[in-house]
Amino acid sequence: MTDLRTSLHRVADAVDPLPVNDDLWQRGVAARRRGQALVVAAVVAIIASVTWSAVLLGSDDREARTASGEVVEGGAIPSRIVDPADLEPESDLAVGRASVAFASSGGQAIVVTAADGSYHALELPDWDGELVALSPDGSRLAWTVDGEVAPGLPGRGLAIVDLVTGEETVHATAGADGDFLTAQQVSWASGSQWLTWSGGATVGRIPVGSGETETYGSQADIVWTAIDDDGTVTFDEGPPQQWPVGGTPRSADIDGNQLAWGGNPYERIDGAVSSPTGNTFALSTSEPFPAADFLTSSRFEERPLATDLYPDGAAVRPLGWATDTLVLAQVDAPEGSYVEGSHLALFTAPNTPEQQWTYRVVAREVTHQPLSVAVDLLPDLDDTSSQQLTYDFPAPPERDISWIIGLGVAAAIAVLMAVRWLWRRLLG
Amino acid sequence: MTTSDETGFDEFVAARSAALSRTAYLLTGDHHLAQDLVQAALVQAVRHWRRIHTSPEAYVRRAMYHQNISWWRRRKIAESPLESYDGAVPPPDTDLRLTLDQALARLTPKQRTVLVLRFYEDLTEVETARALGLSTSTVKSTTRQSLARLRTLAPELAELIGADA
Repeated sequence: MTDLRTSLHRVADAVDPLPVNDDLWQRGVAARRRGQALVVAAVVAIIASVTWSAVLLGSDDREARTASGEVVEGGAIPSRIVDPADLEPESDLAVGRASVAFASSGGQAIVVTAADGSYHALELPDWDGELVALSPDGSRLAWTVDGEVAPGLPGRGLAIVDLVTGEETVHATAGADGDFLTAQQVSWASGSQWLTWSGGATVGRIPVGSGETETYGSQADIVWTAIDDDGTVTFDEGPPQQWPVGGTPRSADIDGNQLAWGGNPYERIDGAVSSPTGNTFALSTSEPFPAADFLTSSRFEERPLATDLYPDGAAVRPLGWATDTLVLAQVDAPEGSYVEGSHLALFTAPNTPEQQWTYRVVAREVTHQPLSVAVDLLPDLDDTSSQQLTYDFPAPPERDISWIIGLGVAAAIAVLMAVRWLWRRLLG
Repeated sequence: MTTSDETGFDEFVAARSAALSRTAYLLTGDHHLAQDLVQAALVQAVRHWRRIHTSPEAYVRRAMYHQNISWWRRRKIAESPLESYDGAVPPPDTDLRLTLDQALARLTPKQRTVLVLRFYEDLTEVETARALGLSTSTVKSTTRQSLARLRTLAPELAELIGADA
């Protein structure tokens, strides 16, 4: 009797050997390579989608700071000033009054608007990527230009924009010989109506809004320059010189005293900001030193920093004058200091009796990038204002990131399904 | 350039393609499909040739089993459903081989594959389950259902089926 097993063998035995293609090996090798390529592509796609999600999540923190909906009447200086990663550039410069401006480490011109603390990366026309300087009232921004300084005239200059109206003026920066030069330093007058710049041996003065610029060619390179509310420029040319409006530079005569000059003992000085009345100048140093430097009443003065705060000194970079006696500065303190790293401090100048000196750290989390701050946003310090010195702009409600996670997972699943489909298709 | 791997593969194909063809025909019931099945399994073997440390034939056969079921699933979606699925095979053929052939063609590939593995390849239920990635109880029930279906489709085969059932 024939059983199923025997019958199956009879059926099978009747089958002639089936022809097999000669190129099976080559097809198999090609399929293997395609498979490997697909695996690599899938891995890359997954890594890319994960990275993309991470970038979205990573940008959340920056967005949080830039999207606060809270508005402070009259504006305020933020209590935290960070160096953001790349932001979406904005071509409309009329962003409103600003509290802070600086060149980010990523090469963007960053402006923090005063009312809401949001960050803006401005597309400044022909900006050379170097200097940005915010006026003390926060309404104007100046920057160094490498481009067209007049219709059809390429060169170097300074541009100033009104951040409220967006109106822009460009001032060429050139030496006495007419050659263009780059402004190395810019300093605003306390009243925001004057601006001085220096480059090489040339110092310039710009009355804001006039479209004019006035220059003076010195005998030596100018290290620092400052300007008061009368437009008088004080600059360092060996002994400090003063250049009044309508006059010629002469040895500095501060408070009626001719400066007793015995050479500049402060080679560390690389910038200055004039007090509103022009009788005191806060000087800037880039290396840690146990004192803040001033030029006042015909002499240089060192205003000692508290050793318990800064045992190894600190680099003090004045940003402006809140009053005739109070200076706001960006202080960079070395490790081991009471407040390490970059921060903002408000302290009395030595044009005040020492027993009245004060020192307040007003913002601890501050980028190392050189800042320009609208000091007029500091409240009156005569105890008549309840406003804090800086404002802690709150982060907006935490962004709902569930959709990002969902999107990432969906993308990964889609990639895997596509790979699987391709795989099966290629394998026939 | 011919490598030692390629030479070994060619030798394997030359030696075992006839046996593989027979199994492939039983699995598919169609010469063209059987040829495709053998070649697809061989291509898959090439892709993993260096990693096949045991028997290449066992690997190729296992690939054929799975490939056949996979193809059927796709054809099932693409093609129209079986007609008169449970109807008896028309006029009994005098040739028993052809009758069995026709009856097998009315089984699902899963049922057919289980029968081929159990009664042609002589695998045990455990080995069949392992080869197909099924549980042993599934193999048992599928075998039972397959034989019952053969009895329905080809009553004249009841005697030989009964001998194994």
